[in-house]
Amino acid sequence: MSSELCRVNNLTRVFNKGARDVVVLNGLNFSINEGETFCVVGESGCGKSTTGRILAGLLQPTAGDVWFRGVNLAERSKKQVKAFRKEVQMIHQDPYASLNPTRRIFDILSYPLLRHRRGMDYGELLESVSDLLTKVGLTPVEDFLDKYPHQLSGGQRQRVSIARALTVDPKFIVVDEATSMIDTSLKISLLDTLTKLQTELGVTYFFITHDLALAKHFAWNGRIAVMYLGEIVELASAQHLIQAPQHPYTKALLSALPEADPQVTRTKKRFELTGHEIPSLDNLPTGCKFHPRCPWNVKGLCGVNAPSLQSFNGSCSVACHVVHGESHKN
Amino acid sequence: MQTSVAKQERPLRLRVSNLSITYKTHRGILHAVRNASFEAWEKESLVFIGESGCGKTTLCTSLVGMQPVNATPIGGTVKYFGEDREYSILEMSDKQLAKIRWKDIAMMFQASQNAFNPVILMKEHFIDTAQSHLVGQSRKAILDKSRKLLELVRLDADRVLNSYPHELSGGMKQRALLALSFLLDPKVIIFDEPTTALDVLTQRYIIDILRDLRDKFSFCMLFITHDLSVAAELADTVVTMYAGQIVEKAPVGEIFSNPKHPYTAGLIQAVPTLSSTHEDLKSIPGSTPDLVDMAAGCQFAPRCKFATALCLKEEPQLVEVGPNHVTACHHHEYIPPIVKKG
Ligand SMILES: Nc1ncnc2c1ncn2[C@@H]1O[C@H](COP(=O)(O)OP(=O)(O)OP(=O)(O)O)[C@@H](O)[C@H]1O
Ligand SMILES: Nc1ncnc2c1ncn2[C@@H]1O[C@H](COP(=O)(O)OP(=O)(O)OP(=O)(O)O)[C@@H](O)[C@H]1O
Ligand SMILES: [Mg+2]
Ligand SMILES: [Mg+2]
Repeated sequence: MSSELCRVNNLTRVFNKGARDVVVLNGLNFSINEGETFCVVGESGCGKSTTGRILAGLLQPTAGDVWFRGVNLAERSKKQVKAFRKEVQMIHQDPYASLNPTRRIFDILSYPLLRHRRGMDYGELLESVSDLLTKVGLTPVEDFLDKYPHQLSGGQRQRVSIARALTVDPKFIVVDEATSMIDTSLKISLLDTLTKLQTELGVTYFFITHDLALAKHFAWNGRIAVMYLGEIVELASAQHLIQAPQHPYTKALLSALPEADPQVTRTKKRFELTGHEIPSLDNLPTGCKFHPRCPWNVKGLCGVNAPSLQSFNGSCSVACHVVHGESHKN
Repeated sequence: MQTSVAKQERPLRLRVSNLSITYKTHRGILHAVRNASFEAWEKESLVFIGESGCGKTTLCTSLVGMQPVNATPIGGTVKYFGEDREYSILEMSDKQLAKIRWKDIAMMFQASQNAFNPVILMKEHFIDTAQSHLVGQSRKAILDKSRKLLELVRLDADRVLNSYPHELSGGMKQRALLALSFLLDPKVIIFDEPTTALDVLTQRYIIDILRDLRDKFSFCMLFITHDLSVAAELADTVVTMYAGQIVEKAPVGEIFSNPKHPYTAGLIQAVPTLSSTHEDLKSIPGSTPDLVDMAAGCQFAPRCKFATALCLKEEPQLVEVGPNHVTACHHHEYIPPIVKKG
C-alpha cells in the first residue's frame, strides 16, 4: 500500500524579476505515497501553487529534481511523458483563467475523454459527460452542457474544473484551492466524492488549502505540510499536526482559524506574533525566515542560522531551533 | 455587534426593493434573482451566504450596473443614497454609472484573479482608476496613496506595483484588488469572495483592517462569502440566499445560534471545525434546484426534512420571527437551535 509515488529532492524555483532573482522555493524535500493525501497550508504567496505546478509537470524546477514512479521527470521518454499526462491532473486555483472561454462545457469535458479513450460514440460521450456533471452537482445537466464558462457562477466553474480533472481517471491529482468558491454543504459532498475515488481506485492527492479545518477533514489519514516563504516548516500526520502543533507559525495559524460562531470567533485566544512584517522575497530575513515575527526568537541564534527540517520526537518534522532545544546550547 | 437601535440613526446607503433578474439561456429563462429586498446603512456589514449558483454575484453586480450582458432586470428598484442626492441605479446610463463606480460604490469582483489587464503593470491599474475619476491628481500622489493601501493589506508595495498580474500569487492579486477598491474612498463597497485565496493569518488581519477602515471612513460593506467563519467574524447582518431568493436575514449573533430557515441550519452544520470529527459533518442531501423550469412551492422543499404537502404547493414569503429576523419557511417554528459542539 505505502509504496512511494512521488518524491522531490532539494526542489528549488527561482523567478527572474528584472535584474534580480526571486527565490520562491528553497530546497524542498518530501515524498508522497501512493493513495495518500498530502495537504499543504501556508502563507499567501509562500509557493504552494508553484510547488503544485511543478509536481504536475507544468513548470520546471530551477534546481533539484522530481521523481514520479521512480522516474526523474527531467529524463522521461516520450512514452513516459504521455503516460504521465494521463495519470497526473491539476485543478487550478483560478477557475476564471483555467477554462477555455471559447468552448462549451460539453466540449471542455469531452475533449480529454476522446483523447484518452478513442472510439467513443456520441451517445457514450454524452453519458460520460453527464455522469461527471452529476458527480460535481451541476444539475440539471442540460442546463450546463451548452453553456460557456462565462455563463457560470464562480463555484460552478470550479466544479467544471474538478469534473475535467476526473475525466481521464487520473492516479495523482494536484488540487489547488479547488473548493474555495463552493458552499460548505456542497464542498463536503465534493470532498467525499474525492475520498471515495481514493478508497476505490487508490487516487493520490496533493491538496492545497488555506482552511486547516478542511485539511483536517479531508486528510484525516494523511499528512499536512506547513509552508512559510518557500520552505516547509512543519510536516506531520494531519491529526498530530492539529492536536499537537510544534512550530510557532503552525500554532499561530491554528489559533487564528476563525470559527462559525460569532461569540467564539470574536473572543478566540490567538497565539500572538510579534509582527506583521510584510515578507519580502527580494530581501529575505537571514537565519530562520520566520524569526522577525516569532515570539520565541532567540537573539544570536534564530537570526543567524537557518534551522533545517528535522524529526522531532519521532512523530513529526519541524524546522525550529527552539523546538529542538538548540537554544539552550548557546 | 451593532444593535438595531444604532442602525436606525445612521444614514441609509442602499435600498433594494423587489429586484428580479433573469438570464436568457438556450433552455429558457433562468431566474437568477427573484424578488430580493434589503437595505444597507452606513457602517453596516451585510454578509451574503448561500449555495453556489444561487444568484449572489448576479444580485451584487447589478447594484453597480455591471451584471453580464445577457442579464435582464425584470422588476424592482435599486436606490443608492449619496452624500447629496439619491440615484436609481437601474435607470442610469453606462456613462452615468461610470461616474459613481469606484468613487461612490466600489466592487471587488469574484474574478479578482482575472480583473487585471495582463499586459499592464499593477501601478498603471491604480493610476488609471484614480485618473478616470479625479482630474489633476499627480501620478506621485496616486502612487503614494496606493503604496499605503497595499501595505495596509500586507503586501510588499513596491514589488507589487512593479509586477505584472501573472507574477503575483492568487492571494496577492486578491489583496491588490482589495487595496484598489479603497483608492477613491467609496461609500459602499461590495466584496465578492475576497478571501478565498488567503491564509488564515492574513485573512484575520484583513478582517481587522476592514473593521478599522469601516469605522474610520464609515463605508458600508456588502460581503459575499462561502466561508461561514468569515461571516461570523465580520457580519452585522447575515443574508441567506437559496435559488435566487433571500430566504433568511438576521443579526449575526442570532442567525448562527438560532437559524430559522432549514437551509441556513444545514449550511452551519456542514462547516468543518478543528474539534469536529470526521463523522460529524453532513452535507445537505439532494440536488440543486432548477432555475429554469422552477418547481411550484418552496424551492428547498425537495431537500428539506421539515417539508409537508403545503411546502410543495405554496411558496413561503418572508415573515418576521424576531427582532430584525425574517425567514421564508412555512415551518420555521420547528427548526431547533444549533447545538454547540464541545
Ligand atoms: N511567473 C512568475 N514570475 C515572478 N514571480 C512569480 C511568478 N509566479 C509566482 N511568482 C511569485 O512566487 C511566489 C509564490 O507564488 P505561488 O503562486 O506559488 O504562491 P501561493 O503559495 O500559491 O500563494 P496563494 O495562497 O496566494 O495562492 C509569489 O511571491 C509570486 O509573486
Ligand atoms: N451570463 C450568464 N448566462 C446565463 N446564466 C448565467 C450567467 N451568469 C450566471 N448564470 C447563472 O445564474 C445563476 C446565478 O449565478 P451567480 O453567479 O449569481 O451565482 P452565485 O450565487 O454568485 O454563485 P457562486 O457562489 O458559485 O459564485 C447560476 O445558476 C448561473 O449558472
Ligand atoms: Mg496559490
Ligand atoms: Mg458568485
